Amino acid sequence: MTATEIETQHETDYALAQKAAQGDMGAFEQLYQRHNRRVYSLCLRMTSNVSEAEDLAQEVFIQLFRKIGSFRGESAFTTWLHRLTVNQVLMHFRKRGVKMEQTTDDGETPIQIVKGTENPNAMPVVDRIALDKAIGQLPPGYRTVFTLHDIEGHEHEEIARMLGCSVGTSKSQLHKARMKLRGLLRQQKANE
Amino acid sequence: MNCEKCQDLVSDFLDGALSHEDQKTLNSHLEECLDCADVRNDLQSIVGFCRSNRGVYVAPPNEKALWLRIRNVIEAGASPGMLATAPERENVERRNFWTNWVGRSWELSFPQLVAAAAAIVLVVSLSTVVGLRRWQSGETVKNNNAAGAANLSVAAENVRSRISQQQQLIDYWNQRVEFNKARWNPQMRETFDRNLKVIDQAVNDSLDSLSQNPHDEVSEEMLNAALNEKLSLLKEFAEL
Repeated sequence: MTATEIETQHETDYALAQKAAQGDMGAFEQLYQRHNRRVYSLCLRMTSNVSEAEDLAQEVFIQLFRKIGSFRGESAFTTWLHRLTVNQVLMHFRKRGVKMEQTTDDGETPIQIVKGTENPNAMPVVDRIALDKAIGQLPPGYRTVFTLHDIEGHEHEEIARMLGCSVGTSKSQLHKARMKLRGLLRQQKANE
Repeated sequence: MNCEKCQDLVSDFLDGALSHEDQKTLNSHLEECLDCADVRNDLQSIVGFCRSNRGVYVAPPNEKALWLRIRNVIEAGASPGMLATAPERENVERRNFWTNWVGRSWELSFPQLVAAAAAIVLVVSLSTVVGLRRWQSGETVKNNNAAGAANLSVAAENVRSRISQQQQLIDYWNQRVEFNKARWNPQMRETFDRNLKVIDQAVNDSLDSLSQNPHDEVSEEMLNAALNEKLSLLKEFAEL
């Protein structure tokens, strides 16, 4: 996508957002058509649960409608919507009492490869199905950081702000999530 | 560098966040240690796959159904005038007038109550006067001769002519109302029918009076008022 295309898309989203803020459901439906997959995918990756992701996507768009008047077009609409979605999912985790893993000294034991137990050739070629399955098995805290960093492309500083943790914690959780994923993918291969 | 320290640094290495010196130390360890090199390769393929698939989105199981659910929730939570297009909003505002008028709870202050009581007294007095005049007119009619009967038929013809003119207008607006009626909600339909019934009753009462005494000016006045009222009602609802 070229810069002009991005700009056009941004302007169009902004124009639709302004109309939607006036109560124009047609404009809001267009925004839904344009962004529902992005929102749903993020919810799905963060929860690894189809029905939960669908409910969350629904809640995101309801919140979007309520807050759309506050979108001033200072950032890209997608960025704004992305943040809204992440916040919604994190709020859902907090309500549900999901434990966000802490990487303190007495926290979870880092995943180590015990020498002699691993098969160097056992790591499967990464494919979407296998990876999605493995991500689904990650503890929610790891999954959140992994999704935000490696899939969505956020920086650790942003993730730390979103999650209310330190940059070091974000980095540490990401590393543990990657190592855990490696183990899970290997396990999948071994079970085949 | 030991394996534990090496594996801790692999993520930073993949993210390009390692200092030049650490990178050099890590590289030299990776060249010697196959296990750690495997870890680096595996993580590289995981991260690489994720990065290459960035921007690939999956659709919800039923996008349309999800949209309908969202829309329903929004509409249920929003005030009626807040949604929809501008013409729809105008209609909603008009409907609101009637639904508010019908649905509101009437709380009257003391002066309002006094005014209402005075109005009732006035209506009762007027009805008594009308009744007396009707009775007197009835007596007069009974005592009228054949010439008087001819006058009556002329007066009755005048009344019928005026009604006929009004009726044409009423028919026109009634057609427009019937055309739009299907779009109304039950509450609005009920309001319209109730109002129309009251007005029609007034029209019929006046017509009855006039059929007995075509010279009865009060009944004629009441008939005109009722027909005008009916016309106004039809015009008002034809626009909804």
